[in-house]
Amino acid sequence: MDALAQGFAMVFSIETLLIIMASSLFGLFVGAVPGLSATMALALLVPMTFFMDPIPALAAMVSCSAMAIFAGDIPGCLLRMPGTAASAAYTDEAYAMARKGQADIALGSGLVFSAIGGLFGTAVLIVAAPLFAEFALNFTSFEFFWLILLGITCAIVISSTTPLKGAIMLILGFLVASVGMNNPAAFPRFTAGSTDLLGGIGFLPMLIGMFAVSEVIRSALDRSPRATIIDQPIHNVFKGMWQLTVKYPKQILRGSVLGTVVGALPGAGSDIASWMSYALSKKLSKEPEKFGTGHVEGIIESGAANNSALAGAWIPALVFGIPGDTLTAIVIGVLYMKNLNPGPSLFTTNPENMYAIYILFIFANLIMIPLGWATIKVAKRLLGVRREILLPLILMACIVGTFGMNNSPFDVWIMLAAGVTAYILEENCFPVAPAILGVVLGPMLEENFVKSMIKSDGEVLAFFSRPVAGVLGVLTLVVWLYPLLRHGFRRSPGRATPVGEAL
Amino acid sequence: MKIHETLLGLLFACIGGAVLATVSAYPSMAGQNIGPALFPGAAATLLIVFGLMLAFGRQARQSGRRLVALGDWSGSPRHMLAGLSVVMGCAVYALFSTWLGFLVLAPVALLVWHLAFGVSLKTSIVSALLATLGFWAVFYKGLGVPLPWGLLKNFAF
Repeated sequence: MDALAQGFAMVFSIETLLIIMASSLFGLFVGAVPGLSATMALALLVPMTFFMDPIPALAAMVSCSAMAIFAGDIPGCLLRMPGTAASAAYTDEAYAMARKGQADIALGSGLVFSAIGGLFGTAVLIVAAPLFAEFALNFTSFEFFWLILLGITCAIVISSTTPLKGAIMLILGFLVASVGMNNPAAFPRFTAGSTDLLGGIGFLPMLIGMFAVSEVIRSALDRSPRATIIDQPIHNVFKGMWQLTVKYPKQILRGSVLGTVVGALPGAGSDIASWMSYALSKKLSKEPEKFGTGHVEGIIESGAANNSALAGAWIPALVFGIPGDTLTAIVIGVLYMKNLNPGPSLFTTNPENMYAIYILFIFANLIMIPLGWATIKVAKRLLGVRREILLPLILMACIVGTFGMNNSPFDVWIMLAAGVTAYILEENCFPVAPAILGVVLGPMLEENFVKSMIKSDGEVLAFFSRPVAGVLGVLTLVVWLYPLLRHGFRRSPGRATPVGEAL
Repeated sequence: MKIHETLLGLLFACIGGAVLATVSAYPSMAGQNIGPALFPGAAATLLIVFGLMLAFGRQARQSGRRLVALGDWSGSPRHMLAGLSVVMGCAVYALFSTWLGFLVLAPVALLVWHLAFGVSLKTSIVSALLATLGFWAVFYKGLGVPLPWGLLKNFAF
């Protein structure tokens, strides 16, 4: 109970509350401006967290990401341009509702059911994370090796429409993480004699480059005309929400559950949860013909899913140090920066921090309702902000933030290189998320592999000798070999013949 | 900016080859068969394989004949200038911020970016000056980030 009280005291200090408020408003603003993503909001916050205590830093991350994901619904509804990728699944639906004069219902559903989904995901996080952590306390390097390998395999298979490109990005992430002396042999790799590279390529400058600078470059080169805002008054966004809750309880629960599960899978974040939920909602709906014409059912389900995914993604991040999505990849970077190294021991050595994180999630989802309401009220002014004025300010914030972390111009070069590279690769349909996973998980994968090899004296079969490691290993191999096996079965001449008859 | 998949695939394969060549000289760990070359070596091998798959796969054969196709921004000098100003601005900051100082460099960079993005001169000047002061107040005074004084070192406050 002491730890819980300490957790409350840490969250409800004046400093943390002010930071929650400021980062919430920042998240709402960035999420509501089309073209500025939730990941970008978090990346821009990272330099600020450098100067904060651990819990206020995490408070900034949690509240900013929750608000940004919700706020992405606003331009989706009024401009037909999703503010974040997580809102893209139901943008057309929300826009169609706005055109029918139901913008307040669309935005209200997005707000209320996002908060409910977020609270559901938090409840699962509170229950599941300690259980997994207790289980994982017995894990050795063998289990962690297979777990990481399985995680990155899932990330490529699930999150990318082109797994080959996802795999290439992951490997590029591995190679970036290999630079410097941060390896089990402490041998300087790929440093080319530069002392700046001995400590490796800075993760945070790279993040800011990949998620913020690349967006600024994209916007600078974008020639598409400015979208026009649907001009209709927005009244009480909470009107009719109770009736919708009573009418669609299954959809709310299904979206929340699916969102949490998908969020917990490495590499699959709020956007994928939202798309899957919308598709499932349409498939299982009693009125599928109404989807796409301005029907609220899909918005309710996938709105709940995208915010519940946010909390779900924190489960593997906190317990195993495996990010559920790019947002938690950034959070993991901040956790390491604050000496709160993720892993099962985090739950036993610093329980007050864990309680503080749970309280932060609950609090962020609750204050989302009044803050979200206020944002909807000023939505038209927010959407009218000129991006041409905003983008130079964002770019300067990137530079100053990156420079300020180590007072190093070299970090600005890393940021710029990462930004240009990410822009070019994204233009060619290479997903960026696997590269971030590669950078975060590469060193862990190498460390656990080398540890295991030393323990087993080079015996590869030892990787399967422990029960959990064996199961995870076989599972990983099955996922790897599945495409080959499927291909083999398809090509076999007796494919059409039932197995029994063939025998 | 679209680059032909064959070109990209070959580029990745070349990166993989260069990494393999570099790590081949790395020593093993004392008393072990493995060493610092193992992980990047394995990653590089996979990169070569995947790069070649990309270069000569079905998608590469289906993509057009042009090796590099610029976006529609290439037809607009203003957009080209805006893109270039983003890259050049970052590079200039990395090179000269310590010498010139934040208070000299930031307003100029912000002004150039605003103008390049198509903002009017008057608004650009006001926004650049206010933003510089804002960043200074938040980062230098608020967060204690030692932004460089450069040429204004004697006037530091």
